[in-house]
Amino acid sequence: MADPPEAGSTVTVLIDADDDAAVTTALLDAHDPTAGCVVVHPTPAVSSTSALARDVLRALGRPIGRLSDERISTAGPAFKAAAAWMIAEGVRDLIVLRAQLLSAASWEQLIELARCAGLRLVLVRHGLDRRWELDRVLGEVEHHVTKDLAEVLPDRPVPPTAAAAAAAAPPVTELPRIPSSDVHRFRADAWRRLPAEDFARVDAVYEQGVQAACRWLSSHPDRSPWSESLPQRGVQLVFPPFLPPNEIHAGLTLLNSKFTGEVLRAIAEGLLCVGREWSTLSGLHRWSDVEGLHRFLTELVADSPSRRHTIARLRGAQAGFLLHGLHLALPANLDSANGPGLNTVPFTEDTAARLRAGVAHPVHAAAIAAAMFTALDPDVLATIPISLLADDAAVLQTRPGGIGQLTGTPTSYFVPAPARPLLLAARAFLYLRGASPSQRLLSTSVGSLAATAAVCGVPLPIRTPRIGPPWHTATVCWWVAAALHAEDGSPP
Amino acid sequence: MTPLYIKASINYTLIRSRAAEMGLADRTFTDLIGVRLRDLEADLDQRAVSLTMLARLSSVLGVTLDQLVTMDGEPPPALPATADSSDADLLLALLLSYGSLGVEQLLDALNWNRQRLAAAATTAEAAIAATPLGLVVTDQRIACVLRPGALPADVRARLDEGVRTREPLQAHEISRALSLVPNEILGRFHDDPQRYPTTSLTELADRGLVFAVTPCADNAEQATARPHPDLMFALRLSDTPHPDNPNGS
Repeated sequence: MADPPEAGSTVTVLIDADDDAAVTTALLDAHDPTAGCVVVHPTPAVSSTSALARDVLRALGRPIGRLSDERISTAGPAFKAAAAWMIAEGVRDLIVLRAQLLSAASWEQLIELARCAGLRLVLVRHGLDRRWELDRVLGEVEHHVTKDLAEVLPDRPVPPTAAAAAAAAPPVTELPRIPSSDVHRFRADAWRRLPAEDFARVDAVYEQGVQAACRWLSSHPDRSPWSESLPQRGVQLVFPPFLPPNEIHAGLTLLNSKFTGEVLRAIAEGLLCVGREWSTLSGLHRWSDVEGLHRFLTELVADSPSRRHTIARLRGAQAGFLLHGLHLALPANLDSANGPGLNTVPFTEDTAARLRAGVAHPVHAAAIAAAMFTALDPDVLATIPISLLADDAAVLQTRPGGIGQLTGTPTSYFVPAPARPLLLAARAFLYLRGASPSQRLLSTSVGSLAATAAVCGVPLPIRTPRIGPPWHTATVCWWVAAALHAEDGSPP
Repeated sequence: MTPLYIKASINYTLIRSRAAEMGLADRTFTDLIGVRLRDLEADLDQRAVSLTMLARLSSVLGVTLDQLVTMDGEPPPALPATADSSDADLLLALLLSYGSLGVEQLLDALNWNRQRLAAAATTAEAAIAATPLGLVVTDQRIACVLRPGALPADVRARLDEGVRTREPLQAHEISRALSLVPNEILGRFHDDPQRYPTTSLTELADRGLVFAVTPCADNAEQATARPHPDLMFALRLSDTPHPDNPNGS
């Protein structure tokens, strides 16, 4: 007896008694994996389950010529790969034509596939032939028999296609040479050195950074220490500036529980040597949400077409941070640094399509994707456990304590939207094969990165040297002043 | 009538400009002359300036004693004419590797005598005569330096400025500079601008964060300043930056 189906999993047998060509045509027309419906037309005169698995993968758009090389040529791994892709890509309907010609084992595999992926499975019997072994399989699962074609045809939403979106995007051209100055001089130097037209192009990219920073900071829960009341700030300044705000908050809570406001003020004044010259250092506080900062920075540059675009956006982001009272201290050597947006390759819908068309193994595809948007060394990629991929696959983290990283601080990478289904598929595949969250996500595939990339026709980035951490991990952020923007982003 | 006592003064402006023109870092200058320039300048009576030192200055900087001081002096000793070219190549290789070397150090390492070293230096000088490089030789040190004029001052200034501005801002620097911005925006409503230590504002001015540093009339250790136009432009709080002078002065 099969395991109970996952939520949403159903089995329907559609009887096409007259073997009507119009029914087959209508069902084939429903095939649209991007809309969640996959229609499989099994290879005639072949009844093996591995052949059916290949048919399912091919219907999903995956290549089946290298399944042996990818070590998923047998039915079990191949069906799990298909299930993983379906889970990741939101496939809801699986329609199998000529199902009466399949073996009982094939029906069992399809039903198991539907259960694993939460699919609505439609087995189409053309003609009136019945085979007792197929009826036996159906007898073991809850199912529904119908002759109504309309009942099994899925709704067809019409999402905008990736091709249409790509066509709408204007072509990107390289920026002119940009200044190497830090934020306080960058825009001015560009204004002084570049012709007006070139400056306008650079400034448009700079503005993207400003706006992105203001949007992110306006919605971030952390607030400037300067936004707190004066007595509270006075006591807060007692704490060393290098402590993260959550630890300062815990200390404040403790002090508040022990002393009255008057006593606290006296303690603060004594420790701060009130009456002596004010030290700027005592007013600095470290930004605590390091993971969030990593995500913001890597998202900001994820689709950056060039190093110059990345630097211009980052300088703009620095300006946005300053407007909110924060100093975003970027590494000095951005011109030659490594990391997202600098030596990575933009991961687009077209890239994802190439990977889907070039590789069937979900982990192989995910490893290529991760290498492209992180530029991490394969040895580093190989150590990432499954648990460090966010539930929605929007963030991928590396283990804390790597070379050049602060101990205990994981490094977060924003995952470009087109790459997420690939990572989700890899995780689903590993879980379907019994992996635990602590097991490695990409380790089985990093050894074949170059070969897989060549097959898919995608470029791999120049790897970030292990001795030089990615730029965003060397970025620090400090509260340095009262915000010049109001919380809603408007001027003070 | 010529006075019996002549107050000799050294043209430090000339020395500094020639040293900069030749790309002599402070350390190299000190190695070649034997004393730090700032120590020379601090000696108001200039009693520490010896004839040897003047000769070294003249030789190293390629200026006459007349230009250095208002007295004649001995020209640098002429060097012998020729030497084995391999000696010259070796000497150049060493000087390009180390910048400047002590004469005794060289003689010990190479097991040469002074005549051989002098000959090698002469041949090396001739070999690089058509290049921007030149040799300077004193009684104690020998160095390979840029010839005067080889590196235009404006190019050097741009590069120096680039190196300086690439240094990342420190949090405390930008913190103080940002504290001036609200006053800049609301300046017309403030009668008494915020005062800060003059040294602190001067450092911020050097970093291109503030300008118009003005010592307070009642206390020179305190000053006022305005945020640099480039900073205001970076924050999009002004329509134009400073037009051409990075320091805003």
